[in-house]
Amino acid sequence: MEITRRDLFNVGGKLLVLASVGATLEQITGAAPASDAYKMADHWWGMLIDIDKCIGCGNCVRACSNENSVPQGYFRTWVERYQVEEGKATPTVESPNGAIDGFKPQKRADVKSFFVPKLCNQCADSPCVQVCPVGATFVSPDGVVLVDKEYCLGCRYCVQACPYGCRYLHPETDTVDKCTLCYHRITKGLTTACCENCPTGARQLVDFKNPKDPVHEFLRHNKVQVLKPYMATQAKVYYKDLDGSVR
Amino acid sequence: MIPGVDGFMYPNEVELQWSLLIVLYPYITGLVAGAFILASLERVFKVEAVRPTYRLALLTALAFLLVAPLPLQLHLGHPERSLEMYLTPHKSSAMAMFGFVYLWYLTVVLLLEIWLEYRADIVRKAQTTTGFQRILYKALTLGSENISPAARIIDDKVGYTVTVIGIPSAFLLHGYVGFIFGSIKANPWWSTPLMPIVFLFSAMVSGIAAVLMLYTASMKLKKQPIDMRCLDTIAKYLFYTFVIDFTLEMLDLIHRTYEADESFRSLDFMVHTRLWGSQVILQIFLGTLVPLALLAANQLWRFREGVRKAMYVTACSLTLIGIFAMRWNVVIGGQLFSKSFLGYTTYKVGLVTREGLLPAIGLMLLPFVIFFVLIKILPPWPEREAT
Amino acid sequence: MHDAGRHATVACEACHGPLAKHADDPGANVPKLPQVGDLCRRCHEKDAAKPQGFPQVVTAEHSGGVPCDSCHQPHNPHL
Repeated sequence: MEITRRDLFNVGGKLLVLASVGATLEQITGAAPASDAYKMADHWWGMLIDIDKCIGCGNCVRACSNENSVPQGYFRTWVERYQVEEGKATPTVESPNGAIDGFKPQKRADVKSFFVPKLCNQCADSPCVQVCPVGATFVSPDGVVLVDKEYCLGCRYCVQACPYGCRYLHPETDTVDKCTLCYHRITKGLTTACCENCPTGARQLVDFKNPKDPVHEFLRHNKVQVLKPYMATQAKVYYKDLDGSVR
Repeated sequence: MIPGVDGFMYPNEVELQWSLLIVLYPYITGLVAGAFILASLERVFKVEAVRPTYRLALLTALAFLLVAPLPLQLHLGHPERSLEMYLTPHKSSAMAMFGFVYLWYLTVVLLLEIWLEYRADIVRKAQTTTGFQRILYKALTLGSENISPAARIIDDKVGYTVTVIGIPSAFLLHGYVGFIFGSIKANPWWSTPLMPIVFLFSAMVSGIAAVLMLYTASMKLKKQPIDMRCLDTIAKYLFYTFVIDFTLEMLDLIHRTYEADESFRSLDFMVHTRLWGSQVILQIFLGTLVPLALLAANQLWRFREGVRKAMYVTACSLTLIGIFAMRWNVVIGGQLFSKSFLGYTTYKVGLVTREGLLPAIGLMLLPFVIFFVLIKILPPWPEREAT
Repeated sequence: MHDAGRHATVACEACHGPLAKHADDPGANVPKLPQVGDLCRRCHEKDAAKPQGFPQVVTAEHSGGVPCDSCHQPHNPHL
């Protein structure tokens, strides 16, 4: 039996229509409900750190490392211990392995000492985003500075541009990595791993766009600072009771 | 205690991010810009004395410019994605915009100028050679075999325009590299508006020195006499450029020392310890003051030809080492101190690693290989009539 | 696990490590009991840098080598 061009067009056309209808149906019925979806425009994330509550236990560093599979020797967050002595031009600072195992106790009661947890400051006017040659790192609409590791060239210009030392080159992916503010958690209504595991509540995730967030009241009644304010990066990690010696 | 670290550094700062290859890159583009500026001295500013080095300088620039992207590619975590810099550039990034400056300079300035300069020779060779050579030269003619006097005048006019555009383009090529460092507010060793200018003038110094060395070496190898008037003129321009370069670097140093801002103590300590050898001994003393003295002496007194040659070659060799040291001090120096100003780390150069010493040496030798091939295809010297 | 007591605000994972697998299947993945001594010391060993009001002791003098959980119940530690 001879198959003519007309036959082919006939059958082919019918198959095409069938396939299109099937695909459309699948799209309509398979789509997830939109009502509970996370809307980026409703959030503007930051963090609040209370220096007077930090006990330098390093839980945050361990939790972050576990949650985000941070490679050993690199840090998305870390804690520093400061000792400020009167008459000395510079403080003594240490962060043994990022404080992942806490600190060895120091007993000097004659100096002012305290802990400073550090992480990516999620700058709104971020110098690291400014210098990326391909835009692989960017500020999300909800205020989190992220890196697209499928796009990153690994040039490390952003690592040089960050005033806070929070970026590093991931040895396995050869792309730049940093604190993501546990984006995979906060977009599901959870808090970050570091805040979750802080036993004293020294670290608190805040959402500036949420009118019920305690941060608004907090900022009205407390003195806060960001790190290196003269860099004008619009950092969104605020420190309460940060000493002037902190770098 | 972390090995190699003194004092405190932010935990992610201990390991250096930009290696020896990133020192090599501004060095190579600097040689390009400098060689081109020397070539343009003859073409645009009619300094006829340096005519013998005109073609040589252009080929030097091309050989180095072709190698320039290679250290960058070796450095990238994902070199296979580097084309994205051209396809989806982030417009606020100096690094991204530099990719276009490089492309502009390579094609519209350098390749075009070389083609226009050599066009008559290429056409002649296409008509007189046979076999593979004929195919090559025919391809290089780009279809135009008109070398009548009228066509040559057009070549000249267009070539002049290209060189005129080329001078600010060369400035942009290397000034931009300076801006890539100078615009980083996070790093006080790099962040200064002087950076592009310092880079540019040190580039010119290194490029001029490189052309002088290559010219001297080429003439020696071909057993031909060196045009001393040419050499003296090149040395004179090298001297003037060096004086400006030195002034700029001293200005930066004096300014920093006087203002003594927050970063000063830390940077000063770094220069006195980790950078003492490379900055004070190699860059300033051996790489700048000694060459300046040798060149200045030739402006004040007249020496015998043999002595002058020796002084120029010594001065240029030291200059080339000194400018390399300058790039080292900027790139590596900028990463040896902590941004907390409380500590320092050390840089250990690998040997056979991707960004180690061996690849670096290979990359520095490659331009000479390319140069050798170029002078075979496009001889910079007038062909001797067979007698 | 502990609604009352001084450790009420301390997350389970702070002492027991990551517990996502336990949350998925509590019976099959029972969380490990942590090493008591080192764990308690990380927070409560006396350190001049810690805030004054925070409970901290020089553990060698405090217990003379006796493990912390001999007297303190980790989920409700106050005596």
